[in-house]
Order: sequence, then C-alpha cells, then structure tokens
Amino acid sequence: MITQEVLTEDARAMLEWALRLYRGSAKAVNFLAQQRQLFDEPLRVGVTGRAKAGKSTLLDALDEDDFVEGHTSDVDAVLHLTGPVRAEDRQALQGNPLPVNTIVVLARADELGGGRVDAMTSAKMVARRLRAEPELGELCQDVVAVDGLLAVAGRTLTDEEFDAVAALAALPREELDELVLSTDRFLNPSLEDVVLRQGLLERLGLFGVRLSTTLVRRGYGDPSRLAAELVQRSGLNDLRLAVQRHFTERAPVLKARSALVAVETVLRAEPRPDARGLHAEVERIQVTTQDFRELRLLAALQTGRVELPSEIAAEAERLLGRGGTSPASRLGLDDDQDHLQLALGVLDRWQAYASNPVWRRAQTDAAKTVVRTCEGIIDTLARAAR
Amino acid sequence: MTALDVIDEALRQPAIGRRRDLTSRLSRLRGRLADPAIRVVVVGGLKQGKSQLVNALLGASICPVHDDVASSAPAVIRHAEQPWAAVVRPGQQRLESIDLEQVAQEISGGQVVRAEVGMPRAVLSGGLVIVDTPGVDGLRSEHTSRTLAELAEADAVLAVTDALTELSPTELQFLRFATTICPNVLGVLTKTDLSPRWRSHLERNRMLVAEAGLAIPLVAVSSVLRERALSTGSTDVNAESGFPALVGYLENTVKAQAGLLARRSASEAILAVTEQVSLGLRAELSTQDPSSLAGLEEAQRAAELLRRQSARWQNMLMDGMADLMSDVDHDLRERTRIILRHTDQAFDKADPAKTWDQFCDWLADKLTDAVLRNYDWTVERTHWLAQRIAEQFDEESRGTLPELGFRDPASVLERMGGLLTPDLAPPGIANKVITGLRGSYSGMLMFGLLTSLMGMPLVNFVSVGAGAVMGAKTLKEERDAQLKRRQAVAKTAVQRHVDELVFQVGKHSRDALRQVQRRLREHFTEQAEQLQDALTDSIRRARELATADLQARNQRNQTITEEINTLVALRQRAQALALTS
Repeated sequence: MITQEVLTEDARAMLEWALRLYRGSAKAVNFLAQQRQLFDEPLRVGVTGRAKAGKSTLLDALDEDDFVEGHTSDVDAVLHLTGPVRAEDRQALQGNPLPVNTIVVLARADELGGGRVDAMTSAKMVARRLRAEPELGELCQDVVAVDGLLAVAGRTLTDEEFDAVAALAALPREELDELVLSTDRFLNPSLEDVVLRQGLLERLGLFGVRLSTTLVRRGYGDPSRLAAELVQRSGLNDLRLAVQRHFTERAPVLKARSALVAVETVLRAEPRPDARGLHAEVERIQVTTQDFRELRLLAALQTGRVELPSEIAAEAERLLGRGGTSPASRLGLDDDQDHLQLALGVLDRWQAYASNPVWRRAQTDAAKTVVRTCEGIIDTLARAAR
Repeated sequence: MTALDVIDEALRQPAIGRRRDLTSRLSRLRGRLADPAIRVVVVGGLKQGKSQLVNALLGASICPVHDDVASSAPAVIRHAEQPWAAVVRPGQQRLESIDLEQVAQEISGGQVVRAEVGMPRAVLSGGLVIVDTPGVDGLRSEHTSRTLAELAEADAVLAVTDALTELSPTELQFLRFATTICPNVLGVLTKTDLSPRWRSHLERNRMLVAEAGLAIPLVAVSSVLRERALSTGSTDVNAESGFPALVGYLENTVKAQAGLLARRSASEAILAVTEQVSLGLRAELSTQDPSSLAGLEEAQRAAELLRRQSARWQNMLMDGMADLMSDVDHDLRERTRIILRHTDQAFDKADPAKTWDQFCDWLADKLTDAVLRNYDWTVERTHWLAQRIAEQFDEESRGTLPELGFRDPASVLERMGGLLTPDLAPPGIANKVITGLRGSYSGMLMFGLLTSLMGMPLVNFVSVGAGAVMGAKTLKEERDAQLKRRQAVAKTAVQRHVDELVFQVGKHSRDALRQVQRRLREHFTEQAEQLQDALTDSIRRARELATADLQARNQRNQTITEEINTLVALRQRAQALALTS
C-alpha cells in the first residue's frame, strides 16, 4: 500500500532528525545509528522463552536469518515459546505494550500429548483454546503449536533416515509397538542396528519415530511425501503462516513502529527543549497513520478496551488484519476473484456503523477506522484491477 | 510413649489450651494420627503427569489425564472392598455419590471441590490414602491454594516432575517449600519412556537436590510402561516402568514407617506449638500486668485532686462573698449618690416649701428603683458565684444548686417609711412687720441723727424715707435667708433619709448574703464530703485489689514458670519421639 511507503519514509526521516538533534550525545547517536542500520535491514523477529523451551530447535526449524534468539530489544516482533502456558509466561508477556507483534508458540508440542501419535492434533486444539482465551489473547496476536524437532527432521530428512523408518515400519505390528513403547526399549542394545536407531531417536524423538512409522504404514511411501507430511504435522507451516500474516505483511509498519519507539526512547531518556518539534511529529505520525490506528484498534478490541457488538467484532478484527493484511484475508475470502463489489458493500455497512447514533464515541471512532481500512482495501483492489 | 499420648499431653497443657488456633491444629493432627490413614499427596507443576502417575500406580483410570490442563480438584483415593466414588460440590459439605467411571470427567469439568474414591488395591491397604492434586502454577492460583491445603495434611509427598528436562529453579524452590510442610518428600520423575536422556536428567537432578541441601530421594518412572505392565501382567515391564521403586517407597518407607512418620509429624507440630506458646509466656513474665495498680493510682490521684479542689472552692466562696458584699454596698451607694446629686441640683433652685410633696413622690420612686436594681444585681452575682464554685466539682458530683432564699428588701423599704417632712413653714405677717420695722427704725434713726447734725429734726422726710427704704431692704434680705434655710433643711433631710436607707438596705443585703454564703458552704461541703467518701471507698478497694493482685501475679508468675517448665519437658519428649524408631 502506498501509505506504507510514506510511513517508512516518515519513520526514516524521524530517525535522521533525531540523529541531527542529538549529535552532541554519543550514547544517543550510537543507539540511533544502530537503529537506522536495523531499519534498513529486513524484519527481525526475536525468539524468547524459558530455558529448554526449544528455542534453538525452533530456530533451526524456521531456518530464517532474521530470527534471533533471546533478548526482545532491537527486534520488531516476538515469538514467545512455552510448554504448557504457565503463570510465568503470562508475566513475561504482560509488559508487552502492543500485543500485535507477539505470537505465542507452544513448542515441544508433542510432549503435551505424551508422545502419542495424535499428540500434535491435541496440541493444536490446546493452542486453539488458548487463542480464544481472553486473558492470553490480550497478550499476544496468535497461539500456535509447533514440534520443532519434528519440523527440523521433516525439512532435512535423509534417504538413509527414511530407509531406517521404513525398515521399522516393516516390522510386525506388535514388535514395533513394543519397540517404540519407551526410549529405553527403542535403544535396547541387544537388538541390532542400535546405532541407527539412536540416530533416529536423536533426530525425530520418540514421538517422531512413532508418527513416521505410522505414516509409512499408512502409505507415505517415499521420502519427500513423508518429509512434507512431517513438516505439515509439526505445525511449522501454521507458524510460518502466522508469521507471514502478522509479521511479514505488516513488516514496514512494524519496522516503522520500532524506529518511532527508538526515537521516543531517546526523547524520554534525554529530554531537551529543542526536541519538541520532533516529539510532536513522532506523535503525529503515530496518531495519523492508518496502520498504527489499525494496530491500536486491534489491540483495543482484543483487550476489550473497545467493545463492538459481538456479531461484527470478529469482522472488524478480520478487516483490521488480524488474520493477514491482504485484501482477501481482510475480507475473509479465499481467492482473488472480484472482491471489489463485496468490499464496497462492507464499506457501506461500516459507514452506517460509523454514523450510528446509538453507539458510543469509542465505538463510532472504531467504525471510522474500519471505514478507512475498507477504503484502503478498495483502493488496493482498484489498482490491481487496472 | 506414642505420638498420640504426647499430643494429648500437649492438649492438656493450659498454656496451649488457651490458644484456640494451636489446639485446633493439634486436634486435627491427632485426628489424623488416630486415623490409621496415611495420606500421600501427589503434587507438581502443570502437565507433569501427576494424574497419569496415580492412575498407573492404581491401575485404573480414576484421575483425568488430558493434554490440556486436566485436574482442577483434588482426588482422594483410599482402600475399600467395593469400589465407590463421590464428589463434593462447591458450597456443599456432603458427599454426592457418583459412578467410578465419571470421576475423571467430574474433576476435569471443574464443578467439584473434591472427589473421593474407594477401591480394592493392595497398595492402598494399611490405610494408605493417595491424593491427586491440581498442578501448581506459580504459588498463587486457585488450583494452587487447593493443592497447598492438601499438602498441609500430608504424611508423605510425591513431588512429580517430568524427566524431559532438568529441575528448574522454580521446581527446586517448590521442593524446598514442600519439605518445610511435610518432612517426607519423594521426588518422582515421570515420562521416562519419552525421554532418551532420562538417566542423565535423574543424575543431574539428584545432584541439584543435594546441592540445594534437600534430603529428597528421587525415583524415575514411566506411567505408560506401568499401564502396559498391568494390562499384560508382565513383571519385566513393571520393573522397566520404575514403579517397583515407587511402590517400595510407599510400602517400606511410608507404610512401614507410618509410626515414625506419625511421631515425626507429631514431634514437629508439638515443637512448633510449644515454641509459640513459650514465647508468649516468656513475654508475659517479662511484662507485669499493671491494670489493678493503675486503678489504685487513679483513685489516689482523684483524692488528691479533691483535696485541692476543696481548698479552692472554700477560698472561692469566701473571697467571692467578701467581694460581693463590698460590690453590693458600693453599687447601692453609687445609685443613691446620683439621686442625692439630682436632689441637690433641684433644691439649689426650687423652694422646697412649694415642691416638697411632689419631690417626696419622685424620691420614693427613685430610691425604690435603686434598691430593687441593686437587689436584682446582687441575686445575679450570687448565682454566678455559686455557679463558679460548683464548676470546681465534677459534673456528676456537683448536684443541683440549693435555693439561695434571698429576702426581698421590700420589707426594709416599708419599715423605713416615708421621708420626714422638715420645718419648711414661711415666716408669718407679724414676723414680717417686726422685721420691716426693725429695718425702717434703724434706717430712720441713722438718717435722723445725720440730718439732726444739719439742724433738722430727727423725724424729717429724709429720715422717714430712708427708714422706709431700709425697712423694705431688710424685709427682702430676710425672705432670701429664709429660702436658703429651707433649701438647706430639705437637703439635709433627704441626705439623712438616704443615709438611713443605705444603712438599712446594706445591712439587709449583708445579712442575706451571709445567709447565702452559709447555705452554699453547707451545700458544697456536703458535696465534697460525699465525694471524699466515694473516693476513700474506691481507694480502699483499689488497695485491696492491688494487694490481691500482687499475690495473684506472683501466683501467675509461678504458674507461668511451671508451665514453661512443663513445656520444656514436653519439647524434650517431642524431640525424643522423632528419634525413637
């Protein structure tokens, strides 16, 4: 969208302005220069979570250069890893000013289900329940279940490994069941090929072994199909989709937000009278930029600070880009047919909401923001049609 | 001496008996120890496999096992010949009977406070009761508080954590917390079937526990393998599951040492309770209860105050009355002096002979008015004084002021009667003729002698004329002198009358005031005496009380010392209890 380009330029201009203004302060200049450098780089996603939450495995699985482990400063968005969501996770997420840049990941999701073959299905249901939980919904944009180990294995499955799995799957049913009952049994040194099995267990985990042998038995007979199915089941694709929708599509907005937050940090840390103009400009951008408005309204709707009638609240969140910012995902449609007519209908409806005399001020303001979003969708669609 | 005996002894201690909270704690403990039940509470974080552990241990799907948070209420499982199950609903006390199969569903449904299950299991024989609890998440949530409540009643604790990772600092902290509540904690690492590295985790965890200074043995188990073993009847698989170690702990340590556990629990409870009570008693010994002494001091202070008050009010009455009398006298004199001045002014001009009657009326009015005003003022001042004196007494001991019984000065005025009319009669005609002749004779003689020197006869026209003039002049002089005399007489008469009145009225008010003074003195003396009596009485009682109190206190101190000694003996027995095996 054209507004995003304007926003990017605006944010860069703010960084430059701040750099000029604070050229006397080495600390501020260092920080701002670093931020300017980061600003020109692609979106950086931080991966946080407790020790042993599976951060490095997940990073391996995602194999993205711009995802970094640990610290949440200097990043534009956050993946927070957790096992069962505990009090300490909620606390860790509580300080988050804008929940729209956070995705909670139930990593090691297979363990939730005790390593049963259907463990991932079960973990995905838990993720869905948590996503709908208002308490957690306030703290993040989305909850996704992922088994990092399985995902890595799926992405990098070798033919040798496939052959080993296939050999296991060829064993008589009961024999196999006994073998995969526990890691100890699986690594029973009195059986042959123990080194091979040990390698498999390291790569796949017991759950992965159980799942892949079951899949081979069900007919996933060649390495690429099995690998694809493992990746699919691992939840990695769901995570990628969530990252795409919530982070990548909004990347310019998230980057601009990081830049403006950085400028504000400096303004707060070293306030000075001649920075008033910069301060006002930063505020103006934050208030007037439609993408920021969308993010803020989305956060307000998710946290319940603004309440819309339940039947249209979900539609508002979708239009604002909760499920992705492409016109199709905003409109809740699957393919790119003629959406224009439908978008115009939605616009009319929201214009009516915006002037609804019964609604409170906050609600009509929210509707006006959605109206502007609809106008943006129509604009994009019209450009595409041309 | 059994644990129960020592607890009973503790409960018999009056020092402990006075503390409801402590006796209820000991009674609860006694109830638990008297009950052969041995409570083993299974605790741990979320999703560590507690419920599955219990199910695998008992070989029955009693506790809810779910990939999401499953248990929201504790399940209490004990031995019974016939399986039975019941739940307690929120806000209710009684057990509601349900099917055994429904227990898991009810617990995960969240609509129960507690589930109770009875089933025939060898491991439960000998009074073993297993309590499955909701996961501990932080130390705050509702689930957590239910778990902690169960923990407080535990004879032994199975602290569950999965073998997939090492113990986290939070888990270690929880273990330490559990040992402070219950001395018998077993750490159970679950899900060994899923963890390729469970042995190294077990070793590492043992080290961590030892480093933390905790005496907690650890066992590693697999519920999945145990379930398999139970369904196939395979002892090998059972051995593989790690459960024999757990069951062995329950049989050999928990059950076999139930007596020791009970003694240990009793010992710890009694040590804690006696510690608290002794602290209280020592504190009491060091501070004396000053309540009754304070009463005596208070009474003595009040008596002293009264003595000072008594002197004060008597002085006040005396001074006040002296002042009042002189003021009243002065007031009356002042009022009458004004009247006299008016009288003087009037009689400087007017002839009393002509205006006397009129004047008499005016004077009587003025004087009556002055006397009555003076009287009113006196009464007012007296009341004011009485009031001031009364204020020296307490509100309640003041009483009502007596009727002062002032006598009206009307009687004085009546007795005085009217003003006596002085001799104001003007001279008669004969008097005037003589006076005239005397004047004209001397005039005629004076001028006759003078003119006779000029050769004129003694009686000539000059001397006769002079005699006439002189006679008239003498007559006029005589009339003026008469007026002056009458005026002086009148003034003197009025002065004398007023003096008399002032004297009479003054005497009357002095008498009246003296009488009032007597009355007030009698009244206040009576009040003061009553007060004095009351105070004397209260001092006497306070003194008695203080004496008695001193004895009581000495006695109490002795009792406290005895109680402390008994408690020390009790503590020794409690310590011995934990050591005997």
